[in-house]
Amino acid sequence: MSKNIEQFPKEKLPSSMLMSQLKSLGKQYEHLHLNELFAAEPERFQKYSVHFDQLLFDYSKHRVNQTVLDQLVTLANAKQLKPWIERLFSQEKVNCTEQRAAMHWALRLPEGHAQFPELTKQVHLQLERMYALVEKIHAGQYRGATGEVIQDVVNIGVGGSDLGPLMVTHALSDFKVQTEKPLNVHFVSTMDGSQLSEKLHRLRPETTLFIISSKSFGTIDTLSNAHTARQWLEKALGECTRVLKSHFIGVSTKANKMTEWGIAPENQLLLWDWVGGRYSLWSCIGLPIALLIGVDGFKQLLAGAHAVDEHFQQAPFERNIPVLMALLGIWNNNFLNMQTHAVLPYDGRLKYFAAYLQQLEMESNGKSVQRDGQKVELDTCPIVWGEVGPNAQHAFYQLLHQGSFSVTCDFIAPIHRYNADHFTYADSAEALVEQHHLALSNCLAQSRLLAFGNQALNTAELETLPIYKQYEGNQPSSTLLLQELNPYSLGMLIALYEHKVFVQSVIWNINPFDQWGVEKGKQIADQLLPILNRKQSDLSAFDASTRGLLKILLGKSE
Amino acid sequence: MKIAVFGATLHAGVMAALLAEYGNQVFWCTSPACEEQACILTFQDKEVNSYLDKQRQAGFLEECSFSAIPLDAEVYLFCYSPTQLQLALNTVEKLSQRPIIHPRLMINGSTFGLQGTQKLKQYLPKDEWVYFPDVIQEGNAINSVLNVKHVIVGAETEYACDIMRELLRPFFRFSYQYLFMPILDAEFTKLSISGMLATRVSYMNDLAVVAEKLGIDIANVKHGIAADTRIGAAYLSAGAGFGGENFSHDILTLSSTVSKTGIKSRLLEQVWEINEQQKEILFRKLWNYYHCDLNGKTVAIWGAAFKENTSSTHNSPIHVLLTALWAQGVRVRLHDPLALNEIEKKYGKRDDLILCADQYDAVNGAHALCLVTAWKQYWGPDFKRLQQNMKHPLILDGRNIYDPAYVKARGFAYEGVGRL
Repeated sequence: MSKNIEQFPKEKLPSSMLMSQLKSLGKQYEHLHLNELFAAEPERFQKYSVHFDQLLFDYSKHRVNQTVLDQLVTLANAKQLKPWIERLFSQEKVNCTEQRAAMHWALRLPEGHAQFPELTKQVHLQLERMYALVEKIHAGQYRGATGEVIQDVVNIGVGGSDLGPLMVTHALSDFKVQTEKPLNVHFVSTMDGSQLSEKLHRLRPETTLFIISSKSFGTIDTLSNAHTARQWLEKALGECTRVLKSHFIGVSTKANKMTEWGIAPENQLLLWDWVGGRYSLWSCIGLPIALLIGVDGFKQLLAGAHAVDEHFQQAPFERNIPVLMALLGIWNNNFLNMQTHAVLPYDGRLKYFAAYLQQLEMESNGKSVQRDGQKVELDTCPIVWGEVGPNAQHAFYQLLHQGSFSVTCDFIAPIHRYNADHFTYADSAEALVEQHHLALSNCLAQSRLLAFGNQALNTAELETLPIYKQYEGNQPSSTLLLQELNPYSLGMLIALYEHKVFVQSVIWNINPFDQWGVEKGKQIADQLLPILNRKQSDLSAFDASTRGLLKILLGKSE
Repeated sequence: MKIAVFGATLHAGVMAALLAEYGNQVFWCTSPACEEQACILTFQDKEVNSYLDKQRQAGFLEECSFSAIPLDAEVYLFCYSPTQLQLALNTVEKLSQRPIIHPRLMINGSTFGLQGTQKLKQYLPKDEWVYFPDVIQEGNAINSVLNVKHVIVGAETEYACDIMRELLRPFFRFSYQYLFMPILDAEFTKLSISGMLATRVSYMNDLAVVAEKLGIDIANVKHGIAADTRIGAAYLSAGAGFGGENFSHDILTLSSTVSKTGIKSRLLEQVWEINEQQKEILFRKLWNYYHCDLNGKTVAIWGAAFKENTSSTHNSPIHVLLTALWAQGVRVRLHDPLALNEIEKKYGKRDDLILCADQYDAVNGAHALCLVTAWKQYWGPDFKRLQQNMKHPLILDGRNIYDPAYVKARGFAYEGVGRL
């Protein structure tokens, strides 16, 4: 191998000089108010916003100007961002701790893509199998063991096999396609079975299909739910291979494990080790999405993400939305000391977007060791949180406006809504459009107040305002406007954040594609389970606190 | 009386023939779009055709163009199919432009749902309007009119009632035979009758599913129920589901009328759903029999029409069955004495559909024989020949026309609907 990822060319001198320059810039801007920046540059919106395809990214409400941006781009170049992007978009093993490539971008390559013909073929072979399954279910011709038509599909998965599809199906609920028979998609993830049990008592075994979605096909959360589902089916329909054959679809990298579990080969959809769980909604893990929005909708989702892949690779850093999002995050986090980041969509359909980003960002960049094994030099991933904006206004916005923490925000909103006459909302479209305008006006109002504080208020009013009614402002935010929230624009939006995360990982020199921090807990749980199942009784290996808790759980409390 | 009849439905044909038979002068505008040509219609029902021929020769019936209808016609009868509302409206609009001396008697014999008659009346408000429901049963057309004990008429003035009585006097001699009621009530009654019949069928089908699981023969249950004079014997057969254009249309219209009034009743929806489910019952039996794998199998089907003695496959279980079988990779060999043309027109040429002119040819190499329509010629088949021609002797009887014990004794696997 000519390029070794571990031994990254270390240009210590210019890099450290850059750092100190940025740090002193940071000191300068830390107490500068956004009001002053807007006074100095009245054309900030034209200057600090990027329009691309169905998307507008406005970052004028950040404490930056050309000087800062130039420095940040210089930093990106010093950190070899360009070559790193090329590495990501190759079959190189950029996930160094697991010796795997990270080619989620390959999942959205259009058919017959010239650069990676083999890869594209492999991906589309599985997609086509998934599409055929979706069409059959939509046509009302996918049959359970008794010959009845499947009308409920339950996705059993956790983490990447749950959050992504759940977030997207919720976001695209307006794009539900009409099916021959009513079709409902459900999600089940929690290992304690609480979601599953709630579903099972409502569903009919004869008409229910389960998707077991697990990259490794070894995740205990998923397998325990799958086992319960299987028992439920067999109790009603009898124990026979045709029950397994007609009621279970498997999505995994491990064909042999699926077969072992009893999933018929024709019901196995494959993905590959080079797809990270949290990047997998583009693969057959996205089956629930395709079931909701149909094959064409799913292709649109992929096309939107692919458009961003191209943009990310081609646009100069100054106009490159994911790069800008990442660099602004670095600036706020590392140089202005704002280490929490809120994501605030002004669209109820994006209810699970913040939860999805929590996994994407925090599982990817919540690391403290560099690729070369050294401790990181800068703080890494901030705390990411959020909620649907209008609802959060009645919850935590108080803290944003008058609390003692500095928080950066992403406001996300669609420009048009309820405009397609779709059957899901057509009856009340007119009134709903007004509600959408109400949400938009709130979105703008909040970002304005956060940025400009008292200045956003009426000056006459200000003079008589007691101190506890005043707003300091100066909380920076970005605003992302989508033409409308549709499969294509949502594909774009997700891909933007994926690449943002990657750019930040390059600046921090960490591997965003592993998650060793969550592996250990699973092993320790394996040690504890036999004790709770009363197959073992020796508690001496555990600490005093765990011993105490175990005794209570075992009903042995003295 | 001089009577003008509009429309090309079986109802139009039967009424034209019967009214002419009793000496009325009937002018029949057979082109639904009122084009300037008069075509001679023939129906599947030979009895209707011979009635019509007789009156054409006798000179009481004349197919004519719109403009040839005499201006002094006293009665106008509109017999369109439920989906031809627009054509009917065009016709009354054209009539309103003619120099007719009003009022005349206008009879709506089309099922356009509630307020259907009112919609026509808007164009001819000065005339007397009447609703005369279409009670024609395909395959039994003439008798389905002549044999009713009571005739329902929606009429709202004495004048209208009088002329209706005069018009129908040859068929219904006694005054107690006339059930006059307001037009809207009559329209609702017409739909409600179809709803009741459908409910009976779905009720029996629902019971059949249960009977099968409990080891009860639904045929016994059916006879028992039919013996109760409060209930009667009609529409109690479990089977592969009802069809037919007008009947299905009535149920859907009634069910949507109910839901639009905001009444929380799901009965008719369920009746419809049960029937749709039932259309797949033969498929489900096949699916179970072959352990969820039908790929590459050949299935023979006898019957495509929604019932015997008609070529219509409207809402027939055949469509649901074909779609389900094809989706699983099954080749179908289909026989029907009358409906094959309609099937070919709808589906065209395809490798997995072989239309057979001979019913025994259809079962060649078949893994199962599904009976969908109870044509008389299917009741007493040559079982030996079936046994020889079929690849696997399995008979799925969607109309319960065979004796299970007898068929099983001939070496067949047999399943009916709710039979043992």
